[in-house]
Amino acid sequence: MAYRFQRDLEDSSLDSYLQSATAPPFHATDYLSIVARFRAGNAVDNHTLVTLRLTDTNTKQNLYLLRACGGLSGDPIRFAAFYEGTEYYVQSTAAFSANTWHTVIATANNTDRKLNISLDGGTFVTQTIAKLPNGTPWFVQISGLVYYRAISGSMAELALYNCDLSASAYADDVASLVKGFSPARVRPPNLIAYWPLVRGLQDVRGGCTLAAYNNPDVVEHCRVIS
Amino acid sequence: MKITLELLKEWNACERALTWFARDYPDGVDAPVQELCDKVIPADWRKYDSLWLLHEVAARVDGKDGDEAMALLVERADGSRLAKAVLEIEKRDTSAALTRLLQVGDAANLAQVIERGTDAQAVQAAEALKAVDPAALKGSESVLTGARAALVQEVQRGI
Repeated sequence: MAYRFQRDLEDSSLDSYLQSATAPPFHATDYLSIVARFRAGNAVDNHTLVTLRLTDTNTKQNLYLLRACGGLSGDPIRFAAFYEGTEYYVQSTAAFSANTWHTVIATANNTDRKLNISLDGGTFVTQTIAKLPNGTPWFVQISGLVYYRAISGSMAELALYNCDLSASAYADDVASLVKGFSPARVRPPNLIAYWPLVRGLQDVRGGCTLAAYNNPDVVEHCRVIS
Repeated sequence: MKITLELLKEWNACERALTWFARDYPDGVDAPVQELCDKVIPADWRKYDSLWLLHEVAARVDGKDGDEAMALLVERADGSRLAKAVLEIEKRDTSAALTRLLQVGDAANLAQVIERGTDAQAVQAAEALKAVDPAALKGSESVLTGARAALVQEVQRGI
């Protein structure tokens, strides 16, 4: 099983998504990596894959946002860090394709203030930024709604690590993830949350179970080596 | 325009920038705003640090330097910084920033203005959002408070 999401044509608050009531400690260290497998139904829309939301500071939004941006030139994957409403981002140089399973790895490194992204094992693209999100982890959302619209397509696995997988020391781990090995078998000491989305909505690592909103469909999962 | 370490501290520059500036320009640097952005700031940091500098100069400095910074900010800023300029710069006219935001901003950036701008700015932003993603405008009613949700409803009805 994986989950397929739809956009509501009339009201974006009815887009389908998954959300946890609590968040894993994705800001507990200076390093964060997100591993996601997705399959967008088109390369035209901007598909929200994952939002890691922190509590608002000064009434302004703080979050990490991973989107497959068919609405941008080159159809990149954009990994953005919002510090009090101001966006810092890095984009993949490779394009995503419609109706194809992709693996994206996005990392944030607060030691050297860099964002990195790799699509399907390609070389990491790096961007130096000034700020990372501020606040306390609030919730995790797969797909999206309202302003960051849902993915028109499917999401399979999502994993969060407290290390920077773009570092050369982790090249073999990245290769394993891209080949399809389950994150449960890759760097388990650094794995802080893992939603296989195969048999239910449990976070088998951190216990942050997701809830489904607006009826996402259960569909065929991509191949995973466990 | 003269930039000094004390000025950057007063403007709450990040620690990385303060460390670099203290090392490379202990006596400050005096250059036109565009040269500060395009040559003085190190290339690796230029993309975002130059936008930060333009915003601060536009928001805080009177006269020609501030005007030049505002013009460059409108020309170069992404949607989130255009929204920030519209909402936070009080010293000068931000209508050009709003006009460009209406052209390039995505839903979330327009939403900042709908939520926190003046009534007139909010109406303009809502009209723009209605044009690019009417379902997102409808969905915004669920996250806005009373008066602004009513304003969005009026825009949707074409009042």
